[in-house]
Amino acid sequence: MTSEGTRFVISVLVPDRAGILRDATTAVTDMGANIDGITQTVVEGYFTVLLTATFDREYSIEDVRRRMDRAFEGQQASIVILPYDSSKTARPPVEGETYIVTITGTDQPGTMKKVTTFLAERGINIEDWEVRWNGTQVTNIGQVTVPAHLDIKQLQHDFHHLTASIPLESGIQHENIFRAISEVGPIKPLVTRT
Amino acid sequence: MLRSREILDTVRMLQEENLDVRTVTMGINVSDCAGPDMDKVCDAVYDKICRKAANLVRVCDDLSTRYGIMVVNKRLAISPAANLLGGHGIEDAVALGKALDRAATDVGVDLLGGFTALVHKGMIPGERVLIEALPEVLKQTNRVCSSISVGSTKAGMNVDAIQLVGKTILNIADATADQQGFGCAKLVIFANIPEDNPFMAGAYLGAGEPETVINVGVSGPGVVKRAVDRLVQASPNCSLDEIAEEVKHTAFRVTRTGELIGREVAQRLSVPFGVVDLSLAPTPRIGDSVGEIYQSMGIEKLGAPGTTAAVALLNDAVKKGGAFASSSVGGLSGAFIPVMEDHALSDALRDGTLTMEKLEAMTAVCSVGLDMILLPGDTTAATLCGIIMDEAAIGIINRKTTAVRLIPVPGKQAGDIIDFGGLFGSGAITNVNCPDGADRFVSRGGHVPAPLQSLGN
Repeated sequence: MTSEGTRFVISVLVPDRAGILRDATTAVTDMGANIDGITQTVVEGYFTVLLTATFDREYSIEDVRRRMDRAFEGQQASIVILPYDSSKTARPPVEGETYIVTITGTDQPGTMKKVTTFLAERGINIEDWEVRWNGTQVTNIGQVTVPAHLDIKQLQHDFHHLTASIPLESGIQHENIFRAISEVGPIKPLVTRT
Repeated sequence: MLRSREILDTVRMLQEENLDVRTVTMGINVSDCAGPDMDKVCDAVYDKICRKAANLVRVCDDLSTRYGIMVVNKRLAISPAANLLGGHGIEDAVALGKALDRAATDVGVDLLGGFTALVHKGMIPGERVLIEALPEVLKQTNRVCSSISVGSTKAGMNVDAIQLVGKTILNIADATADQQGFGCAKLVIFANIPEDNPFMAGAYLGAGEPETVINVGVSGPGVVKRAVDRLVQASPNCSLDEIAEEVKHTAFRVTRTGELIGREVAQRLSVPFGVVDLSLAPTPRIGDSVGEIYQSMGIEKLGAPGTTAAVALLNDAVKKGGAFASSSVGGLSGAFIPVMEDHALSDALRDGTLTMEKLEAMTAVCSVGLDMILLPGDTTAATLCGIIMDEAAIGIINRKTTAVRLIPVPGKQAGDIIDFGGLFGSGAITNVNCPDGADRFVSRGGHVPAPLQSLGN
């Protein structure tokens, strides 16, 4: 079931409506596929789903595309299908810890570029990122992996300096403070072993 | 995966609502430093404190950076200093106090507690020396804090000790008259003194505690107030049980913050973690007041009938939230009402809606007692003793901690404004209604027997 030749990565971008996930999953499932990875989000009324599916028969990309096009016909959908290649997805392990980045303030053009450049230059991988707007006010929430060799105090200082120049308020805090406050469960497992 | 709302709620608590770790307090046993030569005792105590607490401040600062939460105070609590003073005199006690002050300064902590005497049943010579030395010790040191236990539910009340303490408070006020009696702000008189309290001025390392231990005090009156405000805004006619529920949930979250920091400090210093004490400890800052919580609940004038019930509701809800959050809750855990340190309480006392006597009633249901009360300079020792006895009686009978921190200000009268600055705050000198008239009762001395533990009505 996990033969590389029959596994695809499929994304669908389409104006949001009820039933999109049903249509996408029905299309691949009816072709004999097992969905083994899926995430979805909605931004400003546009829905996108990204899934991986392993098929029990040999299909070409065109076969899958035809089926997906039929499922979203006339809906201005943008569909991308790639063969799954594990050699492209394997990343060298980075020793690091998960931190939460928050940026708040009045929306300014170019903020994302400056922030993501800052993070990328330091080898900080973005695991998840979300931006919310409330009028002109913007809130960025990112979950990132900070490599262990970075000095967190210096990182915070430099990041604060960057965002203050935009100007925006920012913070980089270890995820466990958020977990401690939000989750129900013992604290001991959250204590970092040194 | 954390949800955005959880992240934003946490950021709001930290950045806008003054959630912080009020104190990380390291308890250190110094009883093994006792000896006949006070110079050697002082050296041993200094060396041990500097060795044990060498990395305390650095570790707290590192974690403060890591988690983005301020650890406001780093403190020490030693085993009772009176145990080092057997066979010594007042000059030796002063020397010990100065050695402790030097050690606290050199390791970078802001306060050191444990210049303590436990005299609730009787007094040994070292304890008498300690109490009699307090005026000079609290005058000549900056960071040393003292506490005296004068009663407990099991032992009753040592009135002879209270008489000595009453006189000593006046002597401390005189000795620190140039600081408006500030020395008295560093002395707490307890009934049912907790052995693991991380908050000052009453922290000390009690009997049965480990050789070294980390106890944490978390606060967050601003967080609780804002939670109540949001509830009331969303539901203006919400009932008191809804408010209690909101406070409980908020207390849960605040307590877990403290336990995370405390456990990690302990782990990094390779010492046991003791307790997390969730006490709503106000500071003079606007938005960091316990009095404001009562106002948010609907007590428009602090001191009005209903205020004591509001304190009881808050205190109980905080304890319930804390108890569910952690199995390591200890210390005082509840709501403090230190008048000078809380601008809303201080204003109410100045305006006359809140009186000394109403405060005393509130202490029956709060987590501590009459805390940071400014009194006229001509207050007599008998009056001080009477206040201490009343407060101790409330604690002893109700099987709870009560404490008294009284500050007679030399040369000042009721209504005068005193400002100690910083966390100690400012306030008006309080009028004691009927200050005289119990002298004969107080002067009888002796011992108030331990109360009956049954027939509890």
